[in-house]
Amino acid sequence: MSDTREIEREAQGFRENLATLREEIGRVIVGQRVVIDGVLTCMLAGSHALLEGVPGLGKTMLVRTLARSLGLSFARIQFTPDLMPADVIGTTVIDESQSGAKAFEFRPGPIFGNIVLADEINRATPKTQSALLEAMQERSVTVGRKTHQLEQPHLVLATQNPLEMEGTYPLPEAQLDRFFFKLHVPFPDREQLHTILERTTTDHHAEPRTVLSRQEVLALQALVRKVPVARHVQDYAVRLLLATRPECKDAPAGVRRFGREGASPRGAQAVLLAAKIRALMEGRFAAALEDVRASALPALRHRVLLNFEGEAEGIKTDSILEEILKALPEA
Amino acid sequence: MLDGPRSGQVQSLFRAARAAARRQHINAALRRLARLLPVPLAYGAIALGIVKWSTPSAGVASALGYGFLATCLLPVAGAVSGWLTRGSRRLGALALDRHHQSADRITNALEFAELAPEHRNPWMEAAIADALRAVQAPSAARAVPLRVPRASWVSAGLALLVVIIARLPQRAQPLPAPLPALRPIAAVEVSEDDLALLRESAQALDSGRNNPELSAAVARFNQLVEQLAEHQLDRRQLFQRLADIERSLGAPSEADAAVDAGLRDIAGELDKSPLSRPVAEALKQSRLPDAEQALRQLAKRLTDKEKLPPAELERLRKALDAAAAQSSGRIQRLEEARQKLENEQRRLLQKKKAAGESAASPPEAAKEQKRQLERLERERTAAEQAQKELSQLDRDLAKAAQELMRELGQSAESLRSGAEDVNRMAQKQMSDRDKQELKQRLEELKELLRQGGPGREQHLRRLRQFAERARGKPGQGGDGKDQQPGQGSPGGKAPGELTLGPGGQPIPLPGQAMSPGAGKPGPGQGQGKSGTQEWGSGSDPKLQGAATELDGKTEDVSAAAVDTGQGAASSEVVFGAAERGFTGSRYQKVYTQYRTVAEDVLQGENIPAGYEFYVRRYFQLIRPRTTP
Repeated sequence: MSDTREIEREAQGFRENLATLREEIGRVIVGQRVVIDGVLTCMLAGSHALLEGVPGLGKTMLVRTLARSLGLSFARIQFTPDLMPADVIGTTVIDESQSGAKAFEFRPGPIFGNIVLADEINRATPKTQSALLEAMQERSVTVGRKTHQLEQPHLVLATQNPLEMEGTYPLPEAQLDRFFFKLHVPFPDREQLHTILERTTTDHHAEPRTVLSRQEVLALQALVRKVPVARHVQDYAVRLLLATRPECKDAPAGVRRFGREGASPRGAQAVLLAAKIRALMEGRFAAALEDVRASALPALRHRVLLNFEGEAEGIKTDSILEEILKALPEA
Repeated sequence: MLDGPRSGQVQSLFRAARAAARRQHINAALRRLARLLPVPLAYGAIALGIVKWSTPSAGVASALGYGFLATCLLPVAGAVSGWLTRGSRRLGALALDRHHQSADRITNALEFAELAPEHRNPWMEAAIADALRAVQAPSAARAVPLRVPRASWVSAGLALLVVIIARLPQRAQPLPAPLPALRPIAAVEVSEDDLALLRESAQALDSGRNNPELSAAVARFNQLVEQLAEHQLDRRQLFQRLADIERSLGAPSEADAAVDAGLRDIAGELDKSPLSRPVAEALKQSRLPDAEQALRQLAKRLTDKEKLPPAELERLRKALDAAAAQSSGRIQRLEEARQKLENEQRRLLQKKKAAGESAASPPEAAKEQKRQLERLERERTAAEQAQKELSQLDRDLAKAAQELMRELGQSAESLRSGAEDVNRMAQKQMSDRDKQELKQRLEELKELLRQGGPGREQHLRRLRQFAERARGKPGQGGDGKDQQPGQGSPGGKAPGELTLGPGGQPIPLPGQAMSPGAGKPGPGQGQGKSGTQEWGSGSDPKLQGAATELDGKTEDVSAAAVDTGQGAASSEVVFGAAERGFTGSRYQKVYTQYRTVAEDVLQGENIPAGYEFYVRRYFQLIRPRTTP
C-alpha cells in the first residue's frame, strides 16, 4: 500500500513538474501546445525530435526556452552545405601546455550540449548529417580512437523547412529513424499571432527561468520507464507497427498500395514509450490504447516510407497512419 | 489473481467484464441472425406464394418445405457461430472502459490483476487501485446494451409479407382449360312439312340410281336435311353447304345441249322415213330409252327379213345416210358462220383503218360482233365435243345405210350398235337429269330459306298452327300479331313475294300478304284484315320457259265418277278436312287423286321450277296426316 502511495506521489510530482515546465515555456512560446508536449515527450524519453515547419514559427525559440527552463547546456548548429562533421562533433587539436609539452587535445563540438538545436538539418550534406548518427543513438562520439560519452540528458532537436527543396539533402532513413518524434509545427492562429506580436514588438521581454534541474530531468526519465504496459496495449502497438509494413497481411489497402517501407522496431519503442509518458501526463499509472493512438502519428510518420506512386499521388504518411488506426481493432 | 482487500472489487470488475463480453456475443449472434434471417423469410414468402397461387404437386410442395427448413438452419447456424466467435478476452473490459471513459483503466487493471503476484509491480498495483477509484460501479448493461440489429427491419418486413401471404386465400384449383365457347348459331328454322318434303325428294332421287357421283351428292343432301332438322346449321353454313353440293354436281355443259341439238337434227332426218319415224319421234322428245327401243325394233325388223318394200328401204337408207352426215354438216355450218363473221369483222377493221381514227365505227357494233364470234366459237367447240359423242352413232348409222341395200343382217347389226350408242347417251342423259333434279331440290331449299327474313318467325308459327289443324287439333286462333292488317308495305318487298335468282324481280305470291288473312281467324282473337297490297304486274324476265299458250292445244279434261251414293263428295271431304284435319281414309283418297293430277300436269307442262316447288309444297302441306 505504501508503495502505491509512493508511486502515486511520484506520478503526482511528475505531473506537477511537467505542468511547471509547460507554464514556463508558455511564458515565452505562444500556443504550440502539441509541439511543446511532443518536445517534452522526447526529452522525457531521452530521445530526439525533428521539428518541421516553415521559418518564423518559433522552433529555435522553443528549443532555447526548453534548454533554459531545464538548466541544461544548449548548443546550436546551423546546418549548411559546407558544414563539416568536425564542426558538429568536434576535433582534435595539438595543444601546448605551459610546460611546453605538446599533446593532442579533443575540442568537443556543439553536439556535446545537453540540448542541441540542429537548425535546418537538411541543408547539410549527408556526410555531415551522418555525423549525428552515433551521437543520437549511442549518445557518444568517437573521434580518432577515442569515444567520448555525451552528458545526459542529451536531446537533439532538429528543424527542417518543408518548403525549400533546392539545395537541401533529405535526411537518410537511418537518420530519420533515430528521431523519436517528428513534429509538425503548425502556423499560429489569429489570437496566437496577436499575442506573438504583442510580445515581440514591445519592450516585453520574458526570460525563462530554470524550473527543473538536470537531475530532476533524469529522474523523470527514469520514472517514465517504470510505467507498466498491459499486454493488450503492447499487442496493439505491435499490430500497429506491423500494419505499417506493406508486406503484412493485416496492412490496410492504403499501406499496401502506397507504402514502400514500414516502421522499424524503433517505431514501436517510440510509440510505447510515448504512450507511457502520455499516461503519466494524464494522471494514469499504465499506458492505454488511446495513448498508443495519440503517439502513433508523431512517432511513425517519419518512419513510414512511401513508394513512387504514393509520392506521385501526394499521399501523406499521416493519412496512411490514420487509415491504419481506423482499421486496426482494439483487441 | 489479486489478493487482499481489493480482490472483491476486482472480482466485480471481472464479472462486469464477463457480462459485457457475454452481451457482446449476444449482440454478435443477433447481428448474424438478423443478417441471415431474410434468407428463410424471403424463401418462405416465395414458397408460400407458389403454394398459394400455383398449387404445386405434392412432390414440389414437399421440396419447397425441405428447402424452407434448410434455409431456416442458415440463420440459426449464423447465430450460433456469432455466439461462439471468440475475440479477445478483453473485449468486455474494453467495452466497459469505453462506456465509463476510463481510458483502459479497467482493462489494464484486470490484466495486471491476473498476473502472478511476483510479476506484479507496485505500478501495476497503483494502476489497479486507480481503476477501482475511477470506476466505482461498472455496468455491463449500459456498456453493452442489447441492440436490435438494423438489418432486423428487413426481416420484420419479410415476416409481415409472409403473414400477409399466409392469410391470403388459397387460389382455387385451376379448372381444366375451358372449352372454347360454343358460338351460338342462329339455326335455320324449317317446318316439319318442309323437311318432310325435302326428305321425300331426296328419297325419290336416291332410289334406283347407280350413279356414284349422284348418290354421294344425294347423301350429302340427306345429311344436310337431317342437320337442318337438328337445328345444327345457321343460314350462312347452310348456303355454303348447298353451294358445295351444287359444285359437286357440276354445271350443265354446252356440249350436252349440243348433243341434244345433234340428236334432234338426226331425228329430223330419220323422220323422213316411215321405218325410222318412231326413232325420230323419241329422239325429238329426248326420250332416248324409247329411241333405243325403236332402233332395236327396227334392227329386229331388218334381221327378221320382214318383207319391206324396197322403196321404204331406200328412204330409210337415205334417211340414215343424211342423219349420219348431220354432225359434220352442223360443224361445217358453224364454221361457215364463224368465217363469215370473222370476214365481216376484218372488213370493219379495214374500213375503220381507212377512215382513220376519228371516224371510228360505233363500238357497240364491234362488241356485238365480237360477242357473236365468241358465241359461235363456243358453239363450234360444243358441236365438236357433241360430234365426239355422236360420232359412233353417226358411223353406225352410215354403216347401216351402206349395208342396208346389200345385206339387211349387217345393217341391223349396225343399227343395234347405234341403239347401244343411244343407250349410253340415254344413261348419261338420265344421270344429268337426276343431277338437274337434285339441283332443283337445292334451289327449292334455297327458296325456303329465302322466304325467311323479318317475317320468318310469324311464317313458321303459322305453319305450326296449320300443321296442328291439319292433324285434327282445334285451331288456336291468331295471337293478334297474325291478324295485323297487311304484312307487306307498298313499294317494298312484301313477305308474300318470291324472287328467283339474284336480282330477279319479285313475284307476288298468293296466300301470304296478298291473301285475305292467313288462315281462319281463331276464336276470340282473330282480327285479321285483308291485305291491302295489290297484285303486281309484269313478269320476271328470267322466268324459265315460255308463257303458257292459252290459245290452243289444250283440252279440258273432266272425270266423272259413278256416284254410288256411298261416300261423301270430294268437296265434302275437303271441307271436312279443313274442319277436322287432314286425316281419314277419305281424305287420303281425295288427296291422292288431286296430287296425281297435279304431278301429271307438272310433268306434262313446262312449268317454271319456282312454281313447281310451290305446287309440291302445297301438296306437302295438305298431305294426309296419319298421326294426330
